[in-house]
Amino acid sequence: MKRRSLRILIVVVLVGYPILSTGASFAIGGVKTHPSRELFPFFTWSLFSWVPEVRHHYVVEITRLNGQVFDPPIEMNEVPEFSDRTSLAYKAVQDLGRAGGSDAGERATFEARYLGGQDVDYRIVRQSYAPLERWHGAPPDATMVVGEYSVGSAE
Amino acid sequence: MMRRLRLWLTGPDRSHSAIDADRHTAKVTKAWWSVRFFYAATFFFAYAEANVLWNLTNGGAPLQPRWVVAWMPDALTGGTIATTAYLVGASAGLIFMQHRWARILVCITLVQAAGFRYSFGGLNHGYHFWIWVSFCLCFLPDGNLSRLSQSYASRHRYLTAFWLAMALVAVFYSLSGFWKVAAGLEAMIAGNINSFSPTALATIVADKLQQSGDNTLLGPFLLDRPLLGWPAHLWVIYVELLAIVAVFRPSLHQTWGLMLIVFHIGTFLLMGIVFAKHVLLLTLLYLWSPFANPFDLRRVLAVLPLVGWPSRHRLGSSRGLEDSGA
Repeated sequence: MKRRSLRILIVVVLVGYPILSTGASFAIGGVKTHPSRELFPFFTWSLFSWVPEVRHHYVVEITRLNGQVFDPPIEMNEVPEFSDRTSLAYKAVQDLGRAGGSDAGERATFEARYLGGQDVDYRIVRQSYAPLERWHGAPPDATMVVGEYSVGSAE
Repeated sequence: MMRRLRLWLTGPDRSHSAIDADRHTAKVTKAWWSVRFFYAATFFFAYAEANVLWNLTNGGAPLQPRWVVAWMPDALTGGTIATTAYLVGASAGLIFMQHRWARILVCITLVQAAGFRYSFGGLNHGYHFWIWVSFCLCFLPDGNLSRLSQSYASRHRYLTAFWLAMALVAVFYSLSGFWKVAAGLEAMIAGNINSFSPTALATIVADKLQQSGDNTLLGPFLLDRPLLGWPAHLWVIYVELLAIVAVFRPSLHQTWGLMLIVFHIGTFLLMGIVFAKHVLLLTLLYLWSPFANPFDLRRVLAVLPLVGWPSRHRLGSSRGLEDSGA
């Protein structure tokens, strides 16, 4: 590669990458000052740009497992059979919650992967809280049940 | 126009201009070893991660292929090919790194392996740096070290392609800093907590720890003293945003590499996030930068972007910023 071609390449890569990654992200998720969606491997590198005043967070709560009723319900991650603290599991719960549990296909995929092989009644709950206050023990500002579902023979 | 922009970014650090033939060869030698280490590490990662990739084929999750692996019909076929190809590509890079075909093969198989890994619903950013650096290294001229040393043009092209990898990594960090500033300004105008708020870092850490349900070494300590995070967060924004300026100033390469590594150590201590490949690349590209001058605190302070001018003023003359080794 000639010296001049290499110089042109430098400009194309260093200018093109931010334009392409930002353009792709805006096209997928809309114009934002904290774009999070990406066209792999083009990423905007917007990480922790947005400081959450209030976090809307979805959790899956188990109300019944193999005949045993939980009152009050317990969070999925507190149940040894279902505990999965990977980012993949977290994202799956958030996606499920954002969709309001209405997408039966997505719900079936979630149930097969994270609740598989058990008779379970569960509900998706949306919690809203200020992260720092919540860390110091404050209860969620608001809690809302998004949907209640059953899987396995309990269905 | 590009030359003017480059000079503006270079600022008072004129050390890059002092290149003589011997030092040029020394720089190529340093870059060559970093490239060699890169391909050895690629092979190591391919081997270490082969089992992780393979396990995705029988994890029960359906394949939701990213566009780069849209050709994969199912997890088993895709995983078999991606895992095997990654190992073959990384082995080729390890043995034939002096040949462009091997470096292109590494880049392609790396994209396929990462694309496959991210085709099960989730996506993180552990591979991106490595992929893009492997892309930049495709533009290195062919030849082993002794052949490169004999030709000025080859040496120059080698260093230019190596610098491109450094600059692209700097672009990633600067983008990260840019979005923190952009989102911070938007939130500030709206009257909300933002990147510049005294409790910004503590809020981010609290949010992350509650999402993951994890505990970290220093997270709880910071959350009990949230104001301690304020200078740290402002410092991170400065280091990230101005990484693209630092890459034009060889006197800052090692300092910036070290600061970014400290930043990554901080994200682990506070939030439990590990960017192992990033830290290794910062070592190869910045801490071991072939362009870096021997560390000189006075020079580093003088060429710091935005805040270096008081030091320059004290020096009294820009002559002090010329390359002392020239």
